[in-house]
Amino acid sequence: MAHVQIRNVSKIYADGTPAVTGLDLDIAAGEFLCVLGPSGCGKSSTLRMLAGLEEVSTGQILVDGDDVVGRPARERDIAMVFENYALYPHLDVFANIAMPLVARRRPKAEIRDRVGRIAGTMGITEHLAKRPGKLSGGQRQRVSLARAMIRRPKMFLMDEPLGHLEEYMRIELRREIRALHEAAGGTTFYITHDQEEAAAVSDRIAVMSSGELQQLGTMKELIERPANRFVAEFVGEPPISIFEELRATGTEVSIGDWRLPLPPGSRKARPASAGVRPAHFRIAGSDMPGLSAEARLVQPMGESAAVLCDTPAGDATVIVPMAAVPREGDRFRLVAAPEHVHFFAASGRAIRSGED
Amino acid sequence: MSRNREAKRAAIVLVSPAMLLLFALNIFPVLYAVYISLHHWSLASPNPPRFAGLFNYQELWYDGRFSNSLGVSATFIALAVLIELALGFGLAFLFNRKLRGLETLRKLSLLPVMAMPLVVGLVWFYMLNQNFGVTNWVLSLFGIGAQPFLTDGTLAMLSVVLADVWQWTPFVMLVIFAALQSLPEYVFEAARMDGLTEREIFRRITLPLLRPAILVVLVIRAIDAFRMIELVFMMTKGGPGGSTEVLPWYIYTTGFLSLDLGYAAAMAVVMIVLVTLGAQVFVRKIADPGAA
Amino acid sequence: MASMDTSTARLAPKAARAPGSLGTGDILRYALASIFVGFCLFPLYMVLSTSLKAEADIFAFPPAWSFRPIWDNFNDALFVFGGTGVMPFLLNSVIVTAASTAAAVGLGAMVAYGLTRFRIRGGSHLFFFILSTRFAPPVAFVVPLYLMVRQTGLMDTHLALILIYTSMNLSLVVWIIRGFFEAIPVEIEEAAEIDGYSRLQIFFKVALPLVKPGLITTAILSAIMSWNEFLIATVMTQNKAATLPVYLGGFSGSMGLEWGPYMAVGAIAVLPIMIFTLVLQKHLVRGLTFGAVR
Repeated sequence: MAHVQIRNVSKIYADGTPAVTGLDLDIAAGEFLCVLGPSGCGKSSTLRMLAGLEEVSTGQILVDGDDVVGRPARERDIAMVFENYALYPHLDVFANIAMPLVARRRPKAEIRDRVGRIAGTMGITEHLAKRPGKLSGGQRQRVSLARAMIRRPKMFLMDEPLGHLEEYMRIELRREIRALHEAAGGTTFYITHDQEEAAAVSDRIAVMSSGELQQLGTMKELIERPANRFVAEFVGEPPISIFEELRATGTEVSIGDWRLPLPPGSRKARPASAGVRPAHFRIAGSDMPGLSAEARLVQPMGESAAVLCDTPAGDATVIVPMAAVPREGDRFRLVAAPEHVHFFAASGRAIRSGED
Repeated sequence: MSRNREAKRAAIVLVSPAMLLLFALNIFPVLYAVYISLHHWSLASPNPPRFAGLFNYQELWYDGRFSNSLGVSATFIALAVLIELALGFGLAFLFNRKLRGLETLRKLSLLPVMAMPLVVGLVWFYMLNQNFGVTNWVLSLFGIGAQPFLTDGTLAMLSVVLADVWQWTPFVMLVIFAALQSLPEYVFEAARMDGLTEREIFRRITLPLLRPAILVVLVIRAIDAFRMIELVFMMTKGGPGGSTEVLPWYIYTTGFLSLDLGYAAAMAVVMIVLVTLGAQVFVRKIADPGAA
Repeated sequence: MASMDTSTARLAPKAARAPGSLGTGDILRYALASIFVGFCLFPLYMVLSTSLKAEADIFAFPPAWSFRPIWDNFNDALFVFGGTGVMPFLLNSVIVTAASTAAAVGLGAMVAYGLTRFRIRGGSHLFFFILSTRFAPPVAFVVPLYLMVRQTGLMDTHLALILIYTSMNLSLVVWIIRGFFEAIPVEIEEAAEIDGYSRLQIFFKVALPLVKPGLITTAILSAIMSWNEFLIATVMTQNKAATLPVYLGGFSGSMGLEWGPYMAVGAIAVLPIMIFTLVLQKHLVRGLTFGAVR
């Protein structure tokens, strides 16, 4: 297990496209870090630079204090799980799993023993003699995981390992991946664009967008204290309701007909937009202070429903328990506690109480 | 008309013309060749063909010229195909890099493959001329005297091999290059992550993954080299002293210069049997591409 | 991202250098590639240059690298050489090549479609039979074919060559076009069926246009094979229907006398194909590598 520090790392491809810009990221020894972001945000480039599959343009990558930039992958002692499994098509499952040990010239008996054990853990013992082509997607990814777990590398890299799998298989495997991480005690760097998955497996989540780190924190922190509008909008399901038209007057700010005290941090940056998560809105009577709203569309989601509303400030979504769901066309007010209303400056940066 | 009946009729309409043609010009000739080979059948003789049983095959058994031609064919195939394979393999890796201009060079190298074999024989015959040929001029640059390329037995064989290598190495290169390009990048990345060295990646990953393509190109080339006749026709006429008399040349001269069709047909039957055995490997490869 | 290069050489860790600059390895690569391409092109250059040389330059040793090109050899080759010149044979080659290519591609596409879209009993055996005819050595078939052509009175006719070449090219056509048909989603044809097309109409109006690249590829390869074929042609034709290779081969006994016109005939036989090859090389490559790479 290793402590990994990414120091001011940038990646610019030969054609001039910047993939990662000035990335700083600290991964504690034994931590399970997820990188979450839309496609093209630079998360894959970051992982490939960690792996040694992609050159670092500028910056340092320290593994336990050692700069590994420029070192080939095989000298970095890192295992990787690929989205498309990347199994060797010409070798059977046994030989696939054994490859990292073969590369390290371990004795045959030891290889047989260790492959047998990991195959047992992953539940693929009966497939050891088959070629990968004969396996299902889930089985292939188990083989790929077994190949990564067969040794104790300093770090595990996982590049959307569940991306190609069906929903039920994803849920099953992500539980196993978390368990394997804990059993192996390694440091894991895990890429996904599925926030539910990120929340389920990781200790901390790094949100990336257009090559830059947006925020690093637990899922709870990302939800409750988004660093900027991108994080607020990207994380959370259903998505946060954003109100673009604010009117700030002295010490107050209005979202439509809803008046709120200006957040203390807004002395320097004037709030340009505000956001409230659907789960943080409550429905109140029309005589209460809040944002007047009319239910336009009710989307049942099991025990609760998402209600899409028209408000003077634009669209808003609120989550309501099934029992209290309004009918379409009902009028009411939406209210939220001030600490659940996020304000963002024109730059997108969050304006926080107690800051600046 | 029911959907099934219509489908069946359509299938027959689509498939039967070609099948008729193949039956007439592929299956029937094989049977006919067997029939002819069982007869004394000479175009030079005024007598009609007469049944001879296995006479022609017995003759083959004792015919030193026939066994020589088999040996010459085997030598030619082995030399030509091995050199083409070795060069083509190396060149495929050579061209497998994204560098400006390399693709254009690769495209240009395709030209010999499509050239008329007769003209290939013609130009190499000219270039290998002992007195004014350019090959002897090249040798003279290295201080080597003029060589009798086409009149010495060993050199004549090597000359024909050279012309074949010139024509077909680009083909071998092209096939292996295409196979190399079709290998998935991620497998190599996985191998690097697994800690394999460059040499191990080549031996354990690249080479086994290329094996099916190499096998296919080997069989195609071997069978095509077996049928080669144009280079011999233009460059050596089987000589000197039978040193380049490959089986096709012996069949051709027996049938159409000596006009002994019965004997030529017996050799043709032997050749068909040999090719069929070789082609089995190929067809099985196509039938089950998974088995490497 | 998707780099073309999967060689192990690339996998070596590279020192960071400015994009565009060349390492010594790359220079060596260019050098070797250039030598190889030079080797590939040189004999073709010899065909062309010799056909433009006067007799003294042809027999010069050391070879005459610089010379005054003359057109006499081409004039000879086209109209005089061998009594008639190459023209009638050129015409025969064009007729035979065009007809046999059209027939092979047409019949081959029909078979390929029939075998992919209809469950014919023994269809896969049929396919492998067709595939295996690719390996039929012409020299082994030429004896029975010669007698068959003689007995049917087709000696020295275009038809004999057209039929034989068509059968020789069928396997390649079926093999390649089948791959193209398999790539068409059946739903497209089912939609056409619901729209009221008959099975044969679907073949001609829906399926065939969709495999046009395959038809082009196989047509090119068939045409080149027919154009270049020598053995069958020389046995089956003497003069009325004799093709270019027959004409060219006819002088092989008297070689050494008239290199100029002889090479000019060679140039006429090879140059159109070379231009063809360069222009259409993408199609050719796909056809040539088919089977080894899918």
